Amino acid sequence: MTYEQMQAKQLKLSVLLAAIFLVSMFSVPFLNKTMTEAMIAPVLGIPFVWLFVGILLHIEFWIIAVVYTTLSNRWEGELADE
Amino acid sequence: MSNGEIQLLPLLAAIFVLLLTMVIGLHSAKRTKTLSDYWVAGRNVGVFTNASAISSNYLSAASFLGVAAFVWANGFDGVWYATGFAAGYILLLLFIASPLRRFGQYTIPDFCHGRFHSYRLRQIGILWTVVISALYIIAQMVGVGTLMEAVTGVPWVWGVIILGGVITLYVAFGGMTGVTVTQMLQFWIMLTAMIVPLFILMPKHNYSELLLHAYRDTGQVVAPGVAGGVEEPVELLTVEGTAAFSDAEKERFPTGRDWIRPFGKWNLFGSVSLLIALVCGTAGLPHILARFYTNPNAAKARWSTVWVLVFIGLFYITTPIWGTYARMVLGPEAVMVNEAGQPNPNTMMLITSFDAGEWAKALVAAGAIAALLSTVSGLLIALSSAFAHDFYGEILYRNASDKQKMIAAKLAVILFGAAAIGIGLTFRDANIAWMVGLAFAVAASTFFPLLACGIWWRRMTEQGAIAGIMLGGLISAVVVIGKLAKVWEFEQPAVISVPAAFLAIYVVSKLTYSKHTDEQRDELDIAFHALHDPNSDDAVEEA
Repeated sequence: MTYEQMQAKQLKLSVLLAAIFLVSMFSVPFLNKTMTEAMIAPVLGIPFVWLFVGILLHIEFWIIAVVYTTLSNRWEGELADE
Repeated sequence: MSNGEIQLLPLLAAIFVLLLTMVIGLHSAKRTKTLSDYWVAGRNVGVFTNASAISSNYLSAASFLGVAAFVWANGFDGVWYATGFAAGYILLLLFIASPLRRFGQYTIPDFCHGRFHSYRLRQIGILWTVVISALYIIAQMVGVGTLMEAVTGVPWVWGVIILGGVITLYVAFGGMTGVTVTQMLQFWIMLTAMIVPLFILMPKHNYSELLLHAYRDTGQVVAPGVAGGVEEPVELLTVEGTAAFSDAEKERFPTGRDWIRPFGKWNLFGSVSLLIALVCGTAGLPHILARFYTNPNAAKARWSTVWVLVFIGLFYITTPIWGTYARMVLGPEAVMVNEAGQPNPNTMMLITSFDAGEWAKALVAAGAIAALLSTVSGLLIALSSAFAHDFYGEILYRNASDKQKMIAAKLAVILFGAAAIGIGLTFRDANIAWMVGLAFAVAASTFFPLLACGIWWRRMTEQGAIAGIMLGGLISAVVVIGKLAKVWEFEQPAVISVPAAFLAIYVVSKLTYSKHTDEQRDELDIAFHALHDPNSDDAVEEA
């Protein structure tokens, strides 16, 4: 693997994870607009949108960050070993 | 509750944090020997330490007190702040942090110069670093006085002078090395202050029940009341017993079920624009970006960002909980007033913490002071590096010795520290939230597009970079001026300025790259290569 190939792999991964992040975050205002009552329906005693934006999105950020960092560092390590 | 009346426990807590910070900061000065120590802490900061320091640098008093207060006042739309502020670190991690560290410089203007071989772009980088950091530091210094007065009873003027003086002193002597240690400590004080009182409050009040009160109610907000548990309308009063908000002011805040519904503060367009500013702005703040230069390599810069997301995530998850408790639990003394008799909603966390005991209030006061110290110290480093390193050392007097550069660095910190104190004393009535929001919008419209494209697009040119950064910044300025002049109500420029900056970079780079000589293209390629080749640093070392 050349460094250009690794860079392309990293960019592809970044774009994929960024797309997941952006869609999950920026779809919320639109869902709030179109299906307000469903978004504020209580789940575990908390309005769903509060639970999703206030807690679940943070957990999604952590997962994205760990996946990206683990794979990126592994690829760079493999390149250095070659 | 404030009104100049000294509050012993919070005052002692504030003094403790100040003394601890000063002692540790000045002690670290012994380890600050080289310019690399002064600007990037010798590039020797570990993952845990840097993640704590970055978190602390980022979490200003606006986050510590303001986000919870915004939830308290505006309901769900405040929760966007709690998540949007953290979300920016995802883009920073995916596109910016590790290549920026691998490039191996001191400042963002360094990147502007090194990537495009352009002194003109370095100058523009200095300009926007100063604009963004100045907007941010003015807001912080105004907040310093307000906060010190509210939490300790120390008069506003003395609050600005004492805190400003302490910060300037330890930053001037310790540089980034001193700031790193103190910021790490300040973060854990802040997180403790956010979480521990909630463990007392949670068993006392059922969180979901509090939210469901608002869900079921279609009229005025009702609360169980602190004493007696009798449901009664919350009437926010000053300590003199007068209404904290006029009827017209009250209409600005959502009530009843509207409090838990989206769009209590912004419409759809405003919500999306706010999110763009928060997400992209975080990835363009010079005082945050500079901290990634302190890691030993790119791999550690990545892991630092992961831990920042965890640390500030834990912090921000608590802010809607604080806001909800405040909304539903507060008694009649809901709002403290300042010397001028104006209500200060940002102190609602202090009042709410009373419900967990007097010691909790002291803890919150310590956290608030730590938040101010950490952010202002990071901003002072960013401002002084723009002047002493980028302007003096790289433009004005390129042959300066390291000793001369070190003297310039210390003088720059003292100069900007004194200016910050002066400005803080002058702009007492400045709208803090608006200025911080503006700093985010400008950062999102200038440095973020420049860095994202400059790092990932080989054919980006100097001309494209200048077009993008200037257009993004100018659109932000025009929107703000139009709002101030009451030409329009629109106040969130990011939804227009960020795409415009990207578009300008793309179009102008496309038009100008073909006119570059082979030598110029090679220079761009070499700089691009240095950003991504793991063999160009020790990035492959396991973090």
